[in-house]
Amino acid sequence: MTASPALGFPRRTALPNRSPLRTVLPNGLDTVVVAAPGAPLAEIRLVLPYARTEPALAAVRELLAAGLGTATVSRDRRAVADRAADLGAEFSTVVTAEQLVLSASVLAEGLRGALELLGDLLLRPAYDHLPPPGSTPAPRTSPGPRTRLRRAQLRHAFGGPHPLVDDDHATGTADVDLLAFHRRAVVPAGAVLLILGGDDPDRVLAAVREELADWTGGPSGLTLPPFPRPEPTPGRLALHDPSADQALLLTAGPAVPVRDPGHTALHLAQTVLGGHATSRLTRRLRERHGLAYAVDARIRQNGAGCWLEIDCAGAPGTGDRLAEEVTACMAELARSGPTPEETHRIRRYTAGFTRFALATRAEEASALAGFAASGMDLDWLTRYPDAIAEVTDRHLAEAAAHFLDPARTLVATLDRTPTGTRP
Amino acid sequence: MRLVTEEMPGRGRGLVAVALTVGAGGDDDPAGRHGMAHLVEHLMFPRDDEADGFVALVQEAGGMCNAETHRDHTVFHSVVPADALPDVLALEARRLLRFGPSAATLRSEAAVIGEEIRAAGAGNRLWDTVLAALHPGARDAYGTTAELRDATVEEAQTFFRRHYRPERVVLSVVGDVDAGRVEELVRREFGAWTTPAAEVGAEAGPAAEAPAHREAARRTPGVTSSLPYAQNGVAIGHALADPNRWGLGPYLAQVVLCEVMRRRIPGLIARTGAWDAASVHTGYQGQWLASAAPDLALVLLGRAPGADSEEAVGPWLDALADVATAPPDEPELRRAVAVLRASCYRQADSLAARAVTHGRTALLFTPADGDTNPDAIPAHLAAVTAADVSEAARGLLVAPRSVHALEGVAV
Repeated sequence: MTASPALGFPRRTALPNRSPLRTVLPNGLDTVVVAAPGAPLAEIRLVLPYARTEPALAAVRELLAAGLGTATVSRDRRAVADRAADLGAEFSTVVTAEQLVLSASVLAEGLRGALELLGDLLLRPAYDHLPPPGSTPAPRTSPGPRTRLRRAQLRHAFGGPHPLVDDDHATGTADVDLLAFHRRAVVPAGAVLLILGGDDPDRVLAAVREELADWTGGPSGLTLPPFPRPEPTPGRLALHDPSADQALLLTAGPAVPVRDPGHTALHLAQTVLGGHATSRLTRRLRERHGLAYAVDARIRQNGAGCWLEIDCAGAPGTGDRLAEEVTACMAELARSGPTPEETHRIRRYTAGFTRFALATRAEEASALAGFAASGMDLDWLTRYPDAIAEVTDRHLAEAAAHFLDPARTLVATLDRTPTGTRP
Repeated sequence: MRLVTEEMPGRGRGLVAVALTVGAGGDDDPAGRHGMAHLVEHLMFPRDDEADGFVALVQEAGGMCNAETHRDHTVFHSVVPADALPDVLALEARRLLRFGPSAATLRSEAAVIGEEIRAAGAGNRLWDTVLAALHPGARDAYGTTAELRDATVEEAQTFFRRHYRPERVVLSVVGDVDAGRVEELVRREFGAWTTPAAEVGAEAGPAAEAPAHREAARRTPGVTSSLPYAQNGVAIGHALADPNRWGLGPYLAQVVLCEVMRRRIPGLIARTGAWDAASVHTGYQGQWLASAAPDLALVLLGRAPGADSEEAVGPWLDALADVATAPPDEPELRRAVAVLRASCYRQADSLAARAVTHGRTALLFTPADGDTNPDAIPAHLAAVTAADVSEAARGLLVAPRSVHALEGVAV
């Protein structure tokens, strides 16, 4: 073996001071600046509340997300692209059930220019380069099988009406006014801006103040209201769709959100059940019975509520069997708790895996912006391994017994054949 | 075996990436066994006992792992919490020292590869097809299902013994580690890994094509052929300069040229009328410095209705000739270089990508005029001048190229 001299960075005796600088600007923008000394790129994340609070918003949300960040009244599409390239910047937009995240990464020396460009995009947007209203197809009047099952699952579990369970209106795009919706949705109050980079945080904050001082408005109110019922109503729901090309299963069980003291034990129990490659559900459904292409369990949390969800898909006609096996797997784990070997493995796995969310600066920026927008502490994830260590084996067994009890869980399926029949 | 360690205290966030890069890939597939390198890559993840397999053990440590087979190398990479480094190095050494797949595992992995080949389709392998036209004998690293169907455990072991040898392997370790400690661990785990005496001096070079043949092929003019594709168009393959032979400068100038051309595409589409879309892919699947020579730039031109292949190719060559005679102006060059530099930094943000790059740098690239380590490339890019880009365009115009009509079919 030959060993080359160690490469790269000089060793530092201590970690740099990385306490984020956080302030709410006069326009209501919650601004976070994270120092990343020496970073060759700066990361920008703007998180805006963007829930479909009314069914009629479906089309305009989609169109605005496609056009935001691409043109302004003084810069056409080409000019925005050229300016971004000048700065070594890349802009992108992601929409979730409750947020729109505008992301940019930019060469460190281009951060000031990127903030100027961001201000132009937010303050003086142009959407006239998009296809003319009415020329794009209306949203599907009948949602796909997965969306149907999702809405039915949540409606049964938590009640309605609610934006997450109500169907879209087939409004089309003819009467969409993108600029008006921009003025309503793309506003500073209620939004979070996070910048991570190598510049002095005070200078970055001063630049933000200067470039975004004229950006005003909000809050937009585009936030998810709580579900009518906070706890899921248990039971069995079977939807029938002759055109389904696979059997789908979703569950909704009780859960507690991140800030609840019982969350960490629940998280460990959920991971044993279906949160990693050799989980109970994976071994039982995929490897032992060959029933599911993929299966996982996760804790869902948003402004509407919090629930434990198992998600899997199998061959058509297997919906009832999937429900039986999932229920049996949950019951077994709730009754007996994880084995000592599982407990040992899952503690290591979970403590290690949490670090991946912060592994790159880009991922760190996205994660921290998400925490800030959710009202969580910015250092929540870095402290999480300590929280895991504090969960005793007894806490874990109690969490499994309570949260994985099938009697507290709704099991919903959608399949080609009606329930009770065999393919 | 060579060891490269990059200490990144703090930046590593308590994580470490380990890449095991082997100087053997698809080019080393034996005659009649196209895909053997890919199969051996899969067999390096023993799955006989799922709970005790490599993937499960890395995941148990809170990590993740994967592997890629390329034409000229195969790389296995894992990222784990730094305190799991001793375990991962032990696992890496164990799978090298105890390589011994069962017949059942080989059959199931050959079937998995068959599925990967089917899923990739001809479209995803267009780059390889175009490369093969410039360099007869070059084939994709996926493999051929029919040739893998009859592969045996003995053949896999022969391939492994021949190519997975310490002198053809680089182990790169990047992250929250101490180089001295890494070296100590690697000596402990890999100390017993030596090339068997009987294998020393055994033929280890490319099996399917001799280097001299490849060199001659590089000078052979391209041929025009017709390929099924998702839409009507033209694919043009331009041979890129060999950084090991001509230095990093000419290669990177061609990379910058390709970015300049990519940014000119909207204007060219509007001006020529012969295309309805166009894209430029520099290096293997768009990753430059991912494989050693032969490397190529793949240009895909969507033919506008009524335009034939010649009408589509002409404007592209004219556009290259424009750059050859008139260097890009300063803003245009600056934009292209800024985009490429930022892209380098985005990639180098990932520990796994850094570890892989170190492996490739040590194993594949030996340019006389610079280093290809992850932090050196942006500075090399910034040094490219407008005159260099013009020269690169002249180089592409006289270098071998192949042209393929793409015929739209439902895929």
